[in-house]
Amino acid sequence: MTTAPRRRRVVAIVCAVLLGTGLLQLTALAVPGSWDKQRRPVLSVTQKGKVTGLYPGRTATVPVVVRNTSRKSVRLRSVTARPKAAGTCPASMLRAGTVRTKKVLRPRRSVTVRVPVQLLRAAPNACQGRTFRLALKATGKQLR
Amino acid sequence: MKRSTRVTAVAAGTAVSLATAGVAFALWSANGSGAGSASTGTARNLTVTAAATDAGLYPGGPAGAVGFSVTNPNPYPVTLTGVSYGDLDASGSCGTDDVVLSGTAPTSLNLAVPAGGTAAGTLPGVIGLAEDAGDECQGVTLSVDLSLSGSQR
Repeated sequence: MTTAPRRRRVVAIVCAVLLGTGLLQLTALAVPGSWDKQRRPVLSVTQKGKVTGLYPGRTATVPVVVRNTSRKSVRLRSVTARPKAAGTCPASMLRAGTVRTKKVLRPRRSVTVRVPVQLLRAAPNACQGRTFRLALKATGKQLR
Repeated sequence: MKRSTRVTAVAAGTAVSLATAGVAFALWSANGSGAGSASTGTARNLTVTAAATDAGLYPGGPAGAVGFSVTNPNPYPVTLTGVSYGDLDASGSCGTDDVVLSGTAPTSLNLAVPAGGTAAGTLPGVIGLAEDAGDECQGVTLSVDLSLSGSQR
């Protein structure tokens, strides 16, 4: 038994452990939901109030409440509303914007962001009396 | 040779560690999603009300004008561009047969009605008295049903 082979074995084991750890984390990223199961979303996104009475050309704002559920501050980056088709009225008839911001949300605090939406003037009669469902999304970055 | 192998192994291990650190840093993003909704309204019909006009009609004479006012209950302005005619009528004992719709009555107009407001209009040369209308048609009021069409301005 010489020292060199033992050292080589130790180095190989260390490398294997490091490689294994890296692979495990990469696997967690690659498998959808595997990371989400461990962490709930940092930002909770809800709509406050109702937006009604839209007609061709009218712009309204959707009040979106973004809450930081974590124990660290978050720098908010954007809040987006993406409409889905309302029956025979295509989703493209409702223009929804993205609000970019740099607001810092302290832990457990919330902020209301107003996202503009507009029913296009080209909206056909099929868009009367419809409700567009909006997929709301907020992005940000946790501060250390 | 042995030295070379160890250096390679350590370098590989360091590279993996750095890659892992990079991935961990990227996970500091904070996102969230939710659902909302936005609803459209429904267009409401405009109300057309007859307005009296002194047409000075007489049997076989030129057709007279018809006046009206329109109320728009919608939150947006409307432009009326088309008109069509329905039933004719006369007050008193003057018969409906004594009332005639002019063949040259206008079928188009251009009338803007403000949001939640009212506008008045006049259509020239719409109704007249038939040539054989009797004395019972003197001093009476003739009427015609109007149907106006248009769209949001």
